[in-house]
Amino acid sequence: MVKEKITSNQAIAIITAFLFGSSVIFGVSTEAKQDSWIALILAMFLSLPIIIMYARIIKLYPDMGLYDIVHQLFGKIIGNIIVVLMTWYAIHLCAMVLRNFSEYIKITTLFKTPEILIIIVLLLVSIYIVKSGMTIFGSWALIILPIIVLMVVFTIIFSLNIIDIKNFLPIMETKLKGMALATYKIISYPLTETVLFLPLAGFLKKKDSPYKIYITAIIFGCLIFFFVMFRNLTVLGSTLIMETYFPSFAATRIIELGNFFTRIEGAVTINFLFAGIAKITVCLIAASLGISKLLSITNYKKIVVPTGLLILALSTIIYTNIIEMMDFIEIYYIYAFPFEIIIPLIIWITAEIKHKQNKVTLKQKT
Amino acid sequence: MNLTIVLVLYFLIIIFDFLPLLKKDNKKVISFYIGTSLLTLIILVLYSFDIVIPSPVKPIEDIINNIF
Repeated sequence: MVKEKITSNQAIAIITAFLFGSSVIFGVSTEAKQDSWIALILAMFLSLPIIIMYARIIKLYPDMGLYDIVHQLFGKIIGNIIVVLMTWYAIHLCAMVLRNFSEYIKITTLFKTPEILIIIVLLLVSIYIVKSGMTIFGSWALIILPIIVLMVVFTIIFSLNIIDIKNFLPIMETKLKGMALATYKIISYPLTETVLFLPLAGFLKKKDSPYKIYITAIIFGCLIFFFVMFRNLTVLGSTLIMETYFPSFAATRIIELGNFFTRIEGAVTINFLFAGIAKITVCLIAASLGISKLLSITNYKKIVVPTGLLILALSTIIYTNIIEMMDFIEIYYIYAFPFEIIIPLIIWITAEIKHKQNKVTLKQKT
Repeated sequence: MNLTIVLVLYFLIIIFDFLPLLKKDNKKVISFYIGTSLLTLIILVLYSFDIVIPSPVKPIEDIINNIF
């Protein structure tokens, strides 16, 4: 049982900021080109059953994180296998986000700064947040979320003079197969990456509804993604978006009000910085909780630094260049499927069966 | 440059995080700490000397590409 607790608003802010993570800068999948907004709406609705499944797992076992739940459901051996898999996913995702961030900074701003320094600085901030405690993280997320949203809104307002609504045309040109793939890619990255919030579920208050937390965060996140997509599509057009690594950066770069208000792309970098730190922190906590569960260590904060070092080492060797990074992002939706859908599905079905069995046993006793 | 950054990082970690932990904590935490730190230090030093270490992502990529 975890002593630190966060409010439902803090949890919503954490999940929303986590969703923005790298997606604010990479944008969500533009596989469906000008119809990507339809894919986004479809993804939002189609991801809801999966999100409700995550919430149901928390609801069935309140006051417990995912790792405690799997240990209770499957015992020590199978439980530990699931913990290892989910911990690996958390470490890998964290390393990926860190590398995304360092590549972005290196390409757009700090050309000569060693990448490892950018990764270390970002990781140290996250380690400091984790060590400060979950409540501090929740409060921090509540503060940064309005800043991220305001930045997005401002960039849209400032780009009004250069947007071209014709970039949305022709509507419904994408074939069904392409639309389905684009929708699934958005579901997989980033909507169901929120599975990594499950290990942190023990920090939620018992009275707070996990359904409300998860669904609000997903809907709010998708709304902001819609605005980001609207800005990128109308400013750049689908062809140019497909050609660039960082569409949000490219879209805001050409914003110019008169001759004095320029270089607004810094706002996108600030967004990425905040949202990136939130995503890295969630992954770091999930990974630390997993390792502490495996080693039966009661306080996960004691192993945050070595876990961070593991992530740092992985992020430096994970890709040799940005092309490799983009290649992996292309197959990421297949790689993430077991972690985001299959494992939670197995946990949920087992949890429902055990919950019903417990109810029957209780009734028989009374 | 990279090597200096790595060594400074490890020096700071030992001073501010590891030594306070050493005084009061159990063997499990310390063993994990030392093991992980040594492993990652080796990887990061090799990285600093531009020695290519095989990425764990490559086998994952190969498996996925073979299946799909």
